[in-house]
Amino acid sequence: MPDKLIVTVDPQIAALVPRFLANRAADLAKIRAALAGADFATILVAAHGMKGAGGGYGFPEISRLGAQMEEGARQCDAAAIGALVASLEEYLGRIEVKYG
Amino acid sequence: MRIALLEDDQDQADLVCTWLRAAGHGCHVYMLGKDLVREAQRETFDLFLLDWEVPGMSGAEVLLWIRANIAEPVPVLFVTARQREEDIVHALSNGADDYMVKPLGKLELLARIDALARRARAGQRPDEGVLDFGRLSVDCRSRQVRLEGQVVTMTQKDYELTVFLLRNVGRLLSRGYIMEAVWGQTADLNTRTVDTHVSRIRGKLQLTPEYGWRLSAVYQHGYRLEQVAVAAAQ
Repeated sequence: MPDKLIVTVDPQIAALVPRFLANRAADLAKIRAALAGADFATILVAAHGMKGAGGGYGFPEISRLGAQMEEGARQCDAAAIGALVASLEEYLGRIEVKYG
Repeated sequence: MRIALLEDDQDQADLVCTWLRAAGHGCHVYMLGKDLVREAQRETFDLFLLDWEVPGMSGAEVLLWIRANIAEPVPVLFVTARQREEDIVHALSNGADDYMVKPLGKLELLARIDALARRARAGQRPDEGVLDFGRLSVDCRSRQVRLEGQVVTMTQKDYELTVFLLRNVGRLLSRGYIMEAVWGQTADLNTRTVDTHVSRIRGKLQLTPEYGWRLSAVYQHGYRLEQVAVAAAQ
């Protein structure tokens, strides 16, 4: 089992972070479903949101993966998006949030 | 500051509003450009924070509407994931005052808002201890209002409303804005409360044309306090 990844987040937004992360987990399912239907427009929207919000919440990795996924959606590159979804799932599974 | 935020991503809107409110600003979120435009026709904001890519009327279209329809030079800060040079130039050349690329940093966002506020206030009366308008003056240190040298007795809210109006002479102020500024962001009041207090200070302080003032109600919006020439008013 991979090591936990400690992410330190601004306590001012502590009340928002659990929902933000839950929404990213929901994005995984949404993007996988969209990928199965070659619905790149839906992927583009979800990836764009991740790119915009991740860093502000203290998760620059989510922004980075979102930006790459957005580019993958523009290129209709299903293989690249599939790999990025796996990376996001692995990242979300590893992170442990600390406030401080 | 009372800030209107155009942002269709709920996570992003929650984040930015949390930062703004913690910094002492009021934050009003609009998910659609048309909703912000409708509200801006009857409400007063000190700054607009616009996301570019929202459904329907885009942030860029809202920006054009603001510059064409709001007489005051209200600062506009564009916040978007777009980072191409031509996008930045497009926003700035169409009237945006500043531009930030997502993901946002809290401290940078607040610093840019403060900088825009300073620039917007540059042409206004300084936040001095005494507001002196001749026969009417306010000593903000002792919290005393004087009319022709005589201290005017008034309630705390009437005093705060007086100072707020005198610091915003010439500006159209919505009832909602006045309520937030004087009664606080969480005040749960009927807007008639504002009307009652405005009416009272209009009488107490003689804010009427024969004394060089006009405190007018603007239909479906709020109030504007203006200085007018006494001779012209009579």
